[in-house]
Amino acid sequence: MESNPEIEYNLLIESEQGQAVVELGQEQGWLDKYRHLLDTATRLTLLPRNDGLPFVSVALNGTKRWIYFSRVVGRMNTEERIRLYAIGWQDTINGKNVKSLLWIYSDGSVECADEPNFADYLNISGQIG
Amino acid sequence: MAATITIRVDYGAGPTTSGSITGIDLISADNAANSLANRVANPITVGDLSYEKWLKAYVEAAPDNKVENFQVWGDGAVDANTTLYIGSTGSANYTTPVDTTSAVATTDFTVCTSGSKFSWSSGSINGVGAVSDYLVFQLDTDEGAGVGNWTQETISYSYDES
Repeated sequence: MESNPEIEYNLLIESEQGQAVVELGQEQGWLDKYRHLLDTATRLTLLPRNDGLPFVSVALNGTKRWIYFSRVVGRMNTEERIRLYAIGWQDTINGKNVKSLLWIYSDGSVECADEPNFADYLNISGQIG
Repeated sequence: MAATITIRVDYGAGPTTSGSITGIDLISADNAANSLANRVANPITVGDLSYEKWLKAYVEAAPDNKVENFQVWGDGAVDANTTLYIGSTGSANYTTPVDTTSAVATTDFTVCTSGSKFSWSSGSINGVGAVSDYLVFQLDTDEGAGVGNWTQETISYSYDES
């Protein structure tokens, strides 16, 4: 597997302490750099870098804590890979951790689920004689 | 740029680490080759096990923060009279691959489906050269296994990047 799919979004962090746009994939250590904003974030928004993709915004009212990461899935022998984006929130409700996650696909489709659904990749071969 | 993660194979006593791979062969030899010729030259005798295959993820270009949550899963089926085993162990736990019953690859891969993924590596990695835990495969063949090509197995894998 070689290079991974490039990141197609920037991340807008809005908080009580101000706001910042993170150039995802180009800002090493942004979790620490923007910790002061993330700890009091009121909204996270994925801002597309290219036309044709939607923005996806999550409000973090009350005690909601943000969730953001991207997920790469790849086919080893064809170099085929996709990148999904997960954005959402989690909170402790009645002593239980509850979360809501949106998965954004490369074509802009959005799925609300704990885990995304997509095709299988990676091929393994054997020979029996 | 986004992180670049490759999959590599460790083999031999050293171990020797391959470059980025595009597939693996489960055969009667311990190597990182992936070709029809390699499989034809090193078939598994019916009723025997393949050599283990030790895989790891390798950071070629660093992420902004980390990569983690490596998982693999399949379609829930392999050729009749064969069993594909999977397992994982820490990156410091390499042992020379064997063609006897694996102490690591002990989970039947057919139970690792999209609804029940196999978690491959604990913790996170971030720097260039960092590696994940090992993912180990081994193919077991029963006496009734068909001779010839074992149907290529498609396996999904994923990791999270932040």
